[in-house]
Parts: sequence; structure tokens; C-alpha cells
Amino acid sequence: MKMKDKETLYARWLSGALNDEEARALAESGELSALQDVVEAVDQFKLKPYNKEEAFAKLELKPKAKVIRLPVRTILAIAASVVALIIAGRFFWGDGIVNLSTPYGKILAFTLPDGSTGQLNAGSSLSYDEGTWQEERMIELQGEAYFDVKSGSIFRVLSQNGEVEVLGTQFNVRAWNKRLIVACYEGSVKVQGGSQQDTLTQGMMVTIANGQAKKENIAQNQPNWQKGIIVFDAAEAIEVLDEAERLYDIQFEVKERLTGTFSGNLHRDSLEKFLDKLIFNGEKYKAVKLDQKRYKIEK
Amino acid sequence: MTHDLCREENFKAVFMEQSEGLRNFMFYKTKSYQQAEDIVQEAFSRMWENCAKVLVNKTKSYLFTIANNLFLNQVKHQKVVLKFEQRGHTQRTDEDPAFLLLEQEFKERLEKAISDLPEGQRVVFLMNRIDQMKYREIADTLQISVKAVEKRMHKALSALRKVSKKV
Repeated sequence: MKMKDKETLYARWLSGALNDEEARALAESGELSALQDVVEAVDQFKLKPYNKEEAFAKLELKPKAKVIRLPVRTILAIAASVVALIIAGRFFWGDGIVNLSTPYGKILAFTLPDGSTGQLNAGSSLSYDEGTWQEERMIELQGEAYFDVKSGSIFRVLSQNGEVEVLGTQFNVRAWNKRLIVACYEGSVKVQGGSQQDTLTQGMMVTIANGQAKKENIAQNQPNWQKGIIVFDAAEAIEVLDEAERLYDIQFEVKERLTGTFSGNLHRDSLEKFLDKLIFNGEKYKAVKLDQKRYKIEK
Repeated sequence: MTHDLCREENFKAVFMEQSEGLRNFMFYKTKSYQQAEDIVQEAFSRMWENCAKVLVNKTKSYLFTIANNLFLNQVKHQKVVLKFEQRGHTQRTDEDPAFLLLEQEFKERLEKAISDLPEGQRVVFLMNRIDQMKYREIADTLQISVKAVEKRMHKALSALRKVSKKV
């Protein structure tokens, strides 16, 4: 049997696609009865019933004004490499919603229809409407991205934690968990998060969390994550682990709820070092490797 | 008409056709019925907001992507075990109680093992066993190759076969 066929052996056994030789080898391996037990038991499983009518009734569908847009299909100038695009997965919806997303461990460079550019950090996604881009430069962001905006009409970034508005500038938006962090590297940026509103100029950063805004100066001229470094200053343990999962493309399993904060840096190339220095509130934690991508965190 | 998704009867037809599969898919990911169903509601609300922009034949990939993004945004590290219901165990009351207990324990160990599978394997495995989707359909839904589906399936089975029926 060829090695590559071995990787799919059980799957093809289940779909009845094994050849005679493979079937015989599998029968002789003694694994068959364990496999049959599992499939037989799982095939008895069913999900809790789902009531579609009820779920549909609960949707509050606001009546729609009848607006029909003409399809606009402009070919985007893509600065990012083809490889990055294939990795990131790029979809077109209908007449012009563009959706970009990055898997864990990958960063994507993108170009917007007006020539503005940016980079999307790992595990993040953004979308915009190509069809209305000329009238309104608006982006929906989930996660973290850096933007270098061509000057022109107002450019807005909407996130679940707040909104950023600019004319033309360079800035970074980070919206994970309940925190919104915006850093301005050029020009000026207007930030709105909850009841807090602030205008940032070059070299400033604001963190909005729990209805409070904290402003500070920044020394760098680009976000650290673009260089593969994540800097934490008294960050929540859970936020640090989330970020590490995105950066290193791994998964953590945590038994009890981790509390405490962490200060230090993550470097893209040094997962081992990070795992060695897992200290939250002065308490040392161990990361036990479960498999290729999974680690269990324990004291 | 390509934009008739904004008509409520058409939107409802899409809901009836796709909500359950989406809900199951999100359950496999989140391991929580409540969380899965909340995500389905939110995904359909967003699609309604954007009904003029979504072609009827693209609704499935639209919904799956929106739901997946919603999922990625929620707090992770939830160490929960997904729970199934048992099909037709009522007609088996004549069975030996000790045997039934063994079966029950086996089911619980399987649930735990399925919960512990890496997400990608769990989703593929359950789409195939519970939703009875063919490898080809799963590949199309997840936008991966059939070969990748088969590999995940193999790995899932390989892990689960180690859950012994005997205690």
C-alpha cells in the first residue's frame, strides 16, 4: 500500500472505496471491530431537534426598501502575492462584497479599490463593498489590521468594539474581546468606542476598554505585529493565549479559568521560548504538548 | 431576478433549506446548541441586512463564512463536551441493565473523544455521520479538497477507534 493511501484508509473503508488488497490488510490488522463499534454507536447519535419555523419567527426582519444596485465588477489591483491570497481565501459575494480573512499563523497584505493598502493580522477578517466603495469607503473589521489610507473622502473602519474615521493616514486597529486599540502612525484619526470619542494625531495610541479611554505615545512607526512581534503590557492571560494561538497557529486547552496578567513579548519564531515563560501574576504555568498543534496549560 | 432574496418568501425558503445544516455545523464547532443557534440567527440577520448584495445561489457560502467569522470572534477555550441524544433506545428496554450501562458509558466516552478531536476533524466526521453528507459535499461546503476530507476522516476514526467498548 502506498503511504499516501494510508492517510485516508479508514475514510475510504467507511465510504466503501477500498480495493480488495486494502480491505484484506485492514481485516487482518484487527482494527476493524473497534472501527465498526465506533461507527455503529455514532450512527445512533442524533442532535437535539431544531425547530426551523420557530427560529425563523424569532428573526426580526425589518422591511426592506426596494433598492437594486447595478452589478459593479472592477478588477482589484492586488498587491499581495498570489500565494498569500490562496492561503487567505478570497471570496466574492454577488455584486461586490469582498471578504478577506486570514487563518492562524498568517498575515495578508491587501489593496483596496482606491489604492489604499494594508495588512490583516492572523485570525482576522475584513469585508467591504466594492460596488459602493466610490461613494463610501467603509470596512468591517473583525480582529486586527493596519491601514495606509490614500487621502480622499472619509474612510471608516467598523468593528464590534467601536469605529474609526479618517481622511488619509496610517493607522492600526485592534479589536479583540472587549478592547479597542487604535494607533495612529501618520495624519490624524477619529476613534469612537462606546461613549468614548477621541482624536489621535501622529505617534499616539488609545485603548478603550470598560468605557474608559487611555491615551499614550508610541515610539515605533509601524505596528510590531508586522515584524512578527507582539508586545504585551499587563495584558489579560486569556488575551495573551488567544493572540499566541493566532500567531503560532496552535490551540491551547485550559482546565481552570486563568486569571492574572502577562507582560512580555511574543516573537513569531520563538514559540518554545514563549511556552517556557508562561508566568501570569508571578505564577508559573507549564505547557504540555498534546500533539502537533495542541498544548495543555497547567500549573 | 437575481436580487429577490429581499423578498421575504424567498428569504424564508433559504432559511428553511439551510438553517439546520448551518446550525449543526456550528454545533460541531462550538459544542453548544445555544451558541450554535444564536450564531445562526445572527448570520441570517446579517444576510437579510445585505439581501440586495447576496445572490441566491451564493447564500450557502455567504452564511457559512459569516457564521464562521462570528464563531472566531467569540471567546474560546471553552472546555465543554458535546452532547448527543440517543436514537430509539426506548424499544430496547428488554436489554440487560448491565449491558445498557456499558453502552451508556461507551457513548459518554465517545462524546468526550469526539469533543477532544481537533475542530476540523470533528466537523468533517460529524457532517458525514450525523448529516450524512458525502465527502464531496463536505469538501464543497468547507472549500477544501476531497482528499483533505478523507484525511481528516481517517484521523478522526483513528483517534476514536482507541475508545474501547470495554471498560
